[in-house]
Amino acid sequence: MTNQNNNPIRKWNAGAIVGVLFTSCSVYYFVKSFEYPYRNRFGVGPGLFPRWVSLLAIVAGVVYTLVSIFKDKFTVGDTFPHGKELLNVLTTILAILVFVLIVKQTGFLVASVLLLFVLFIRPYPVWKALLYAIIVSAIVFAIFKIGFSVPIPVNRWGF
Amino acid sequence: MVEAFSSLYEGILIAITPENILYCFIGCMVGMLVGVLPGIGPSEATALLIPLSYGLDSVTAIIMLCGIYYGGMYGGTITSVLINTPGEAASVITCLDGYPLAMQGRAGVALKVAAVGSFVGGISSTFGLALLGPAVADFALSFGPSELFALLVFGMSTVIGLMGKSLIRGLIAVCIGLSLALVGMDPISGTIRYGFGIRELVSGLDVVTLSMGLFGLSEILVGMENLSVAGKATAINSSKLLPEEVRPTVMSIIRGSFLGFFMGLIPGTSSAVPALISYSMEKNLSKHPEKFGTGVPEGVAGPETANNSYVGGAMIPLFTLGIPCSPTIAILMGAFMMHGMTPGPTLFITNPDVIWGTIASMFVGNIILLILNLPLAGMWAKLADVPSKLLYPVVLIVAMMGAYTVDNSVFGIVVMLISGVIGYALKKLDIPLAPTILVFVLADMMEQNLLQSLKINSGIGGLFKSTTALVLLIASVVVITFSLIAELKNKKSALLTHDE
Repeated sequence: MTNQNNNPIRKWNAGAIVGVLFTSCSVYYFVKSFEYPYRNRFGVGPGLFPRWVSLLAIVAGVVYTLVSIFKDKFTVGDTFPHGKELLNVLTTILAILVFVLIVKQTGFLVASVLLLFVLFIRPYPVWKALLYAIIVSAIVFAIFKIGFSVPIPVNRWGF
Repeated sequence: MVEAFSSLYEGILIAITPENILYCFIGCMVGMLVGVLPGIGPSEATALLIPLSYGLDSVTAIIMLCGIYYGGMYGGTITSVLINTPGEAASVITCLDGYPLAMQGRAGVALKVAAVGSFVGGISSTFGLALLGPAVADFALSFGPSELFALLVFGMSTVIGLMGKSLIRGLIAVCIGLSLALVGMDPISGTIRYGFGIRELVSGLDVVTLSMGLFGLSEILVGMENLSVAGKATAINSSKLLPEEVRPTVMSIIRGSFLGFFMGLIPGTSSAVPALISYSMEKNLSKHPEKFGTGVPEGVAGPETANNSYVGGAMIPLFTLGIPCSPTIAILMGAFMMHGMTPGPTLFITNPDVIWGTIASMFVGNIILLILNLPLAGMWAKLADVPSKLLYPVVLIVAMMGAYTVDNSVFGIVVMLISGVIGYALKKLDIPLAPTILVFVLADMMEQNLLQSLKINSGIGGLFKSTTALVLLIASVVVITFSLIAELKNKKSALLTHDE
C-alpha cells in the first residue's frame, strides 16, 4: 500500500491529463477535417460539420483542462483504482482481448470457457471456476446458437 | 381522438397474439431481473439484449425491448425497499422511505404502493402516448430542415444543460458523441470520413455496439473492481395501508402520473429526475414533511409513479420526431433502425402496426408486471443475492456475444471493448455517458438538416427566418444560460448526474 501511495503517477492531475488527451484528439480531428471539402457542387460539403464539431471539441477540451488545473483538481490516485481492484479490471480487459484473438480458431465454447475461467479463478477455487465456466458457456451457447439461431463463431467440430 | 382509439384497438389485436404476449412477458421478466440486480440498468440490458431480437419479427422485437425498459423500472423498486440497494438510478429516491418502511415490518406496504403506482403511471402515460402521439407527429410533419435542426440543437442543449454535474463535462460528453458520429459515410455526399482505412468503419460505428461498450462493459468493469456480495433481503410482512395514509398516497400517485409523463417529453432528463422532483413535491405538499425519510407510503408512491409514467412520455419524441430523450430510448432507436424502421413523424404512416402494437403492448406489459410484482416480490428480492463475482462475468460473455452478432464479426467486440474502456474512464472522471450516446444517435440527422437548411436558404440566415426555428434556438440559449447560472450558484442536484 505504501508503494502504491508513493507512486508519482497517482499524484498526477487526472483531469488535466484527460483534457490534454481530448484536446490533442480534437486537434487531430480538426486537421483531418481539411481533407474533406468545405464546399462542393451540392453547396456545403462533407468538411463543414467535422470542421465546426472539432473546433467546438478543441474549445471544450481547453476549458476542461484549465478547469481541471485551476478549479476542479483530482489526481489519478483519487480517480482510478489501484492494487487488487486495478488488477481485476486489467484482467477483464486482457481476457476479452485474448477471447477476440482466439475465438475464430477455437470457436465460441472454448474461448468462452477460457475467458470465464480467468475471471472466476480469482474469487473461486479452481474446480469451481472451471465448472462455472463450462456451465455458463454451455448455457449461453445454447441460448444464442440453438434458442435464437444466432450465427456465433464455432470450430470445425461445431462448437 | 376516435382515430387514435381505433388505431389503439388495432394495436391491441396485434399485442395480444400469443407470440407477442410471450415476448412481452420475456421482456418484462428480463427488465425485472436487471432492475433487481444492482449495477445493471435498463440501458445496459436493452443494449445487451438487442442482438437476441434479430431473429424476431420487428413488432415482436420492439415489444420485447420496450418490456425490458419499463420492466426495469418496476424491478429497481424491490431491492430499494428490501435491501436498501437501488437496482437502477430511478429507484435511488425510493430507498429514502421504502427501506424505513421495510425496517418497520411494512415492506409489503411499500411494495404494494410502488407496484400500484407504477401500474397507474405506466397505464396513464400509455394513454397519453396514444392520444398525443399522432397529433405531435402531424405537427412534426410541417417541420423543414431549419426547424428540425433547431429542434435538435434544443435537444442537445437540454442534454448538456440537464445532465452531469457541470456544463463543461456535459459538453465534453457531447463532443465525444459528435466526433464518434463523424466516423463513416457522410449523410449527403457519401464521402468516407475518419475511416482510417478500416473497412468496417466505412458504414460508421454501430449504435448498439457502442452502447454495449459505453453502458454495459463500463458497468461490468466498475463491478469487477470490487466483487463483494449484495446484502440479504428483509422479510415481507404487513401490506395494508393505514386509513389516514390512503388519501395522500392516492394523490401522490395522481400527481406522479402527470409529472412523469410531461418530464418524459423533455430531452436530456432521465427517469431519476421526475422521481426526485416528485419526492420533493410530495414533501412540500405534505402536512407532515418531517416524516419523510422515516417511512411514509407517499414518499414511495409518488416517485415510483413518476418514473414509470416517464416511460410513456419519453416515447412520444421518439415515435413522433425521431428524437430520443434518454439513453435507453436512444438504444431503442438503434433497435428500430436495425429492424429497418426510421423513428420520426412518418413512422405512424409507414409502420402503424409496429407503433400501435408497441403502444398497446405497454398496457399488456403493465398488467403482467403488476401480477409479477404483487405476489412475487419476495422471490425477486432473493435474486439480488446473486454474488457479483458470478453475475458480472456472466453478463460480460452475453454482452460479447451480443457485440459479435451485430455484424457477425469480432470487430464488434473490439469496438465494444474500446468504447467500454472509454466509458469506464468517463465514469471515473464523472463525465456523464448519456449525452454521448444521445448525441451520437442525433448527429447524422443534425448534420443532414443543417446542410439542407444551408443549401435551401443559401446560408445560415435561413435558420432565423423560420419563427419555430428561431424560438427553439433562443430556447437553447436560455437553457444553457440557466444551467450555467445554476452551476455558478452550485445549485445543480447531484442526482441529475445519474444516467438511466
